[in-house]
Amino acid sequence: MSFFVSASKMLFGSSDPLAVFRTRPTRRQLIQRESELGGQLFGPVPAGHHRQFFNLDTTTWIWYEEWMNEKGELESTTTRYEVHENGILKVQDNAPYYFIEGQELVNLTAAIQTYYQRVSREIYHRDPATAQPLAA
Amino acid sequence: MQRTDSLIHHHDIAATQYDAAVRDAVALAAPKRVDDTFRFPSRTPEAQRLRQVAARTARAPRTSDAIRDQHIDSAVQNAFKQAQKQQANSDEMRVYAQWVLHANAALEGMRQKAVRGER
Repeated sequence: MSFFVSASKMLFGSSDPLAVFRTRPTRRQLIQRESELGGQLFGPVPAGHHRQFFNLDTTTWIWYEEWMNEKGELESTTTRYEVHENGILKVQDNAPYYFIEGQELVNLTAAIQTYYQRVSREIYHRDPATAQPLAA
Repeated sequence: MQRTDSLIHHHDIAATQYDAAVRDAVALAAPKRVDDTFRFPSRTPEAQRLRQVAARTARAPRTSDAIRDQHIDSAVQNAFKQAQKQQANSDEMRVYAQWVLHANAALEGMRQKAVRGER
């Protein structure tokens, strides 16, 4: 066993030192991957639309959708959900902020639950219930 | 710049100004506790007055005043019921919010581990 291989195993737990850098994505890359998955959670996206839904940080969720209107102009909307101790505040440009409730609250929480489960398994390879690594 | 990157970037810039604005909005929009809005314990002078009016109305022939008092009484009771219903919604919102905060913290933990390259 060469010096580099054994040193790599000691330092990184792998015989391929470059594998460490290849398997270490940045935080933004991870969020990008999550957003691609999140956009699929609400059923089929209408033709010509692009949708992203992702968790930005410990208190913020973002829904972004863009599409071409009838005149061929690009339109988009960004909705931010701020999670506070006493409820979830919906924030949209040019619209009053309000705490969501009823069916809207149930739908968002169901989407977040599905997102959490799928992202845990498919991106982080962890059991969503225990956060422990899934068996290979 | 990728689309997600641009959204994050926009959020980073807006966050400072936004925090102050949202704090005010949260304070204003936060559901009030029933006690804060409707001080309606049955022993307050106002409640006793309403009860006396109701008793008088039961004895006396119906006048327009008596009917009006009954309407006021019924409106107060309806408002109180409505406030109780709102309280149930607020509790529900709090439970959902707590769960989401918990899930968000778990996601953040997974991200940090992935960035550090931990399995």
